[in-house]
Amino acid sequence: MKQLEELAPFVYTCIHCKFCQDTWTDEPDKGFPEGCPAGKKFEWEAFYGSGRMQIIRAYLDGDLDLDEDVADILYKCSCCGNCKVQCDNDIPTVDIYEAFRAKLVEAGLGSLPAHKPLVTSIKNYDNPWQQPRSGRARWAKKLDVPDIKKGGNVLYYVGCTASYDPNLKVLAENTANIFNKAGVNFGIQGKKERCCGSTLMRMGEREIALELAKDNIQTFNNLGVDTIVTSCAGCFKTISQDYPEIAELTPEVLHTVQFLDRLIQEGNLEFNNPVNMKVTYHDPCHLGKHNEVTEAPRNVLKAIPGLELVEMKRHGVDSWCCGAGGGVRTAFLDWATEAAAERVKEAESTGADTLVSACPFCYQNIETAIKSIGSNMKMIDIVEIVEKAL
Amino acid sequence: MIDQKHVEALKAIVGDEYITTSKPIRVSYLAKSIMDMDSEVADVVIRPQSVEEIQKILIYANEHKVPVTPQSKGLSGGTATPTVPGGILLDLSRMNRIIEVDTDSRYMVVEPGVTNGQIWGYFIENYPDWVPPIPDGAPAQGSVVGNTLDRGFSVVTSKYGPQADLALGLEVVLPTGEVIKTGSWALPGAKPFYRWGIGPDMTGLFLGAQGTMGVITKLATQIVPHMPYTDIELLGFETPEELQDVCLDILKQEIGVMVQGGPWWLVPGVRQKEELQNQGLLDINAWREKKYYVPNYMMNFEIWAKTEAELTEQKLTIKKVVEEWREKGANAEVLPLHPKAKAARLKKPNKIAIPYASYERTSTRGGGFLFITWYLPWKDTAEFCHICEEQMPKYGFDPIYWVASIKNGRDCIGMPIVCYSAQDEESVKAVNEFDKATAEIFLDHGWLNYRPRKFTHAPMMYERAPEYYNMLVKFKKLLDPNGIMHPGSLNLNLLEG
Repeated sequence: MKQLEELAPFVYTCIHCKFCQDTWTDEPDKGFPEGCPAGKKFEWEAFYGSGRMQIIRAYLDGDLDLDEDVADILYKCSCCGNCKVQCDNDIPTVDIYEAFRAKLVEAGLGSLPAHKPLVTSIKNYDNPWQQPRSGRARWAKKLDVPDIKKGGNVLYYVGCTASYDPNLKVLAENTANIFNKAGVNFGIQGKKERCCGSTLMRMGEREIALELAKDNIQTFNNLGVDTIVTSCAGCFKTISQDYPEIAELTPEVLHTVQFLDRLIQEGNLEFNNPVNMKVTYHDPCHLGKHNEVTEAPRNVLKAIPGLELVEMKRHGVDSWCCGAGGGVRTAFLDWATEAAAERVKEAESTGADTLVSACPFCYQNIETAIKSIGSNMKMIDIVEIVEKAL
Repeated sequence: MIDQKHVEALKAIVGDEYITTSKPIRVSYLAKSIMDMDSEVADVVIRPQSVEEIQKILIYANEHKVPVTPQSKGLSGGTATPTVPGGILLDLSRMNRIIEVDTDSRYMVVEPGVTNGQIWGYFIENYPDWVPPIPDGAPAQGSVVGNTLDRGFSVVTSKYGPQADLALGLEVVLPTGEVIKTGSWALPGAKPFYRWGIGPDMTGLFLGAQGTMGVITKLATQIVPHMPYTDIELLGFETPEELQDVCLDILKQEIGVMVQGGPWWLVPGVRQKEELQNQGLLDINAWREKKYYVPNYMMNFEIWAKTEAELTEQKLTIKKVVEEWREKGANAEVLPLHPKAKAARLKKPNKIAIPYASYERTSTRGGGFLFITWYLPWKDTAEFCHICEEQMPKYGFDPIYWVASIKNGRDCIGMPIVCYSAQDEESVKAVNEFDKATAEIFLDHGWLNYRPRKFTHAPMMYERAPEYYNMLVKFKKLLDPNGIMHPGSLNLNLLEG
């Protein structure tokens, strides 16, 4: 986790060209759809990456003090990374926002009051949902899911949302079923699994995040596994990108879609049942924009017999963010829902009746939006389709 | 200085939602790169949506002598911001309607918030046979109106002239609240089909005025045919003279909608210098050995045609001219261009100019770049190249610069691309020193800066043309009696009173 001062050369390199406001799609003839949920919502220049960089530069120059106005602007960002993707000067915008949020936390201006219960919950219960540690592995009770301590070379790191959200336990169940059917020698940490700290890092709450990360890294290294597989795109980003900056992490880290893609490529996962659906795929930002994992989920979907995949205009690294990340869903639920509703409408425009994703947090937010606008779109996680096809 | 009383009065005009005094929001509009390095923070930012709101704002500001800086949405690069601290920044991004497209008279009418990307996408969807004049290599979020008012470069400038040449009429709100239309538009009921209008043309007073004369609320500008067949021919030369003379012979045959290039330094310029140094790639010979052949000087001829045969014909003409010059002993050649490079260049808008900002970035200091743009007769292009190559290293800058043809080689737009460190005060100082020194040299040659900076080009240029400047000030006083419009810009005047 870099300090703002280390990232300053990038801040000064921003020439305020505003390319970060659109999604480029690498096909200009398609036009330039909006790419920044915060900019679109709040419209003032300050809410786009281009404006945020000027604010941060003014702070570094000593021309701007931190105050509630600054905090309000910097926390109204889902940290989706569209600005990072579009920037041809490779400015790591989200790293800069997070480092700046850490300054706001140090100054007592962050995270926002609405974030506090979440922060306290992670501190006290190792999960953001204010749930007891004992409930973390309840989803696995009736399933054949081994404890990683009993052996196995793959750790299935379930993550807080799939572990605790009653609507999303099915995601964890499906993943475990698929692994069993594919003969994967895996296990889970059960009650011992702790939050990866993603939300904390995104919000600038580095002190608690760092403590969690260090403990997790040590635990993961000591498990002796070869691979860690995560269900959540946020966990994947955190463990694969942020952890190695804190300490050496021995096992390879994969998201479920990458692991499934590998199983398919190696002939270890065969689909016997056609799934006759017309679907469109929503790229979670932490997979697509932050990790460029855009092909693996599509490879998986394309391998399923009977399934038709159609793309939204904004897809891959140019996807429209669902609006949940960066603490936005926690602090600004209405806006997060509005952003997701835009995604649902975009999905509807493809003619698909099912919106597939690969992140429980996106799932939660998009599902809320589907209900809020009364859409007939069905939200589904990719593992549910895979499980059906086996 | 704007006080709360002013803010309340302005709120009553646009509503609470569209006015702010929030410091971080005001700061977020700062733009200290690309086209200018002097940028100040306004006291208040307002986002009006209509001509009526702008009229009311200007009448109020005029009465109270409050400075007003209009900002369309973004220029061909960067944005217009106050040149003196304080006042009102009018962010016109909400005025983003594409009002009319007439494919018979071949013009379009747009508001100032209409962006390059927006209009390009709109034409692709609705008028694929026509091209709106958007700048090449400029951000999709730049404004068509902003680039026109700045007399900027467009995708078709090499053929049709700078974007201002395509303007057919403007709707302008003056500081007094009066609204005028220029060109044939001035006649009620008339279409904006004829630039020169019903009397002596006033349009020119607002083109290049940098918002010092009034707020432009509508622009009528020409559109041009979008040809289905396009390609790029890359030409290489050993000397600037060969670049100048060979290209002129081609340009005289009216070939090329976008003809641009410069020294080999343009190739490393879009990469990080520190990395190139580590790889030993800051030398043209090393580049040729390790990477691919790079000519000393190069020009890209982007050619458009109605048919494949016509495209081939244009290529053959280029080849023929090059061969004729080779027979005369010139080191000129038509070079292969990597398909990826070709595709990147043919995309509009494209991002090709953006990475210059990273050239001087290192792990400890930020990058940045300034385009300093000059218009000169084409036959002075080689001289311009020599001056850049002599002067840029004197101030610590690698000789990265760009030249392009205007109107089939009648003129040249020449531009030192000054890659510097925005984080290093000495580097910023060197940019300003270089700018002043070269401005002196360029003005001595009779060349013109196209977007004069407040502290350098404007005073230096007007000092040499006192009669013109004095008359301009009279016009300014007529239109803007209290001097509220973008004070300081163009060095016309500071706010009086």
